[in-house]
Amino acid sequence: MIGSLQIAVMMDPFDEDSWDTTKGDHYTDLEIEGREWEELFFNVLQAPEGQKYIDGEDIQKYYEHQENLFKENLTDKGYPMLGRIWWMFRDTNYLPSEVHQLLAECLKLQKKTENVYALSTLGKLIAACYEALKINSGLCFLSD
Amino acid sequence: MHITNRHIKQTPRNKDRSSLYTFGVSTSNLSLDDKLDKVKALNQEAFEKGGAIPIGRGATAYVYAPYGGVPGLVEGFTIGKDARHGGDFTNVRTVTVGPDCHSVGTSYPGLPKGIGAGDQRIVGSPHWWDAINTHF
Repeated sequence: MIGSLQIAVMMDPFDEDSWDTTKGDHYTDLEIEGREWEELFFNVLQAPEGQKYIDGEDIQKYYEHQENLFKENLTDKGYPMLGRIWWMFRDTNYLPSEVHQLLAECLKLQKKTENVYALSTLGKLIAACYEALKINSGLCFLSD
Repeated sequence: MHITNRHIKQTPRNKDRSSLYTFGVSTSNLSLDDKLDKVKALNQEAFEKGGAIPIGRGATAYVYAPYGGVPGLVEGFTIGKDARHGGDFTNVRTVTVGPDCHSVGTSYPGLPKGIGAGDQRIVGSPHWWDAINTHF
């Protein structure tokens, strides 16, 4: 898998125009890479890879369906926050109030796997969560 | 919206962190609509001529690096600055297209993360030039 997700700390990640460095918004040096994402979600968490596109299908509905399949599967497994990171080519955001839960999911999973790529991903996510929590901020994962 | 904010206008969140379309020389006089039209045309060309790399969800990245000029004298076809290459100018571009072979997810100057310049799937010859010594 190619692609990457740059991780930034941002107070209101759902409003891109609100970026304000005086409020602590900043990029971390952390970036999730394709192989890391793939190993964490498909190897360790056994997330569904999705269904094939049917010719003529509405593309937005197709993507929504892929996203929902992924999220619902991981929510059922106890990882609703991680389940938002459904593709390397879509941005993902977490409000300040959601970072604690993301951190808890990562710490829980960290104890259950020995997959080095997954552990690398989790290490980055955990570091990003701590960085955000220092200033009670949120997180955004930015695709290329 | 993603392409506009991240790779054409570069909103404050994206400034200096993402690749930027410059279309060769400075585009300061171009309107946003003009830039969007250029990017659409570049995307179409990359889709038609670029090398295909699967990116999951049935989608594909097309990577195209047309190269021209006079060897040793003029190097050309810079289309933008590559954030993953220290902000150097480049002739490489990437466009991702959905499984419907129509919808564009993103496009930007530079290679997809995880693909090296020597990857055989790239069509063309990827080059980078630093901002000071670039020949347009």
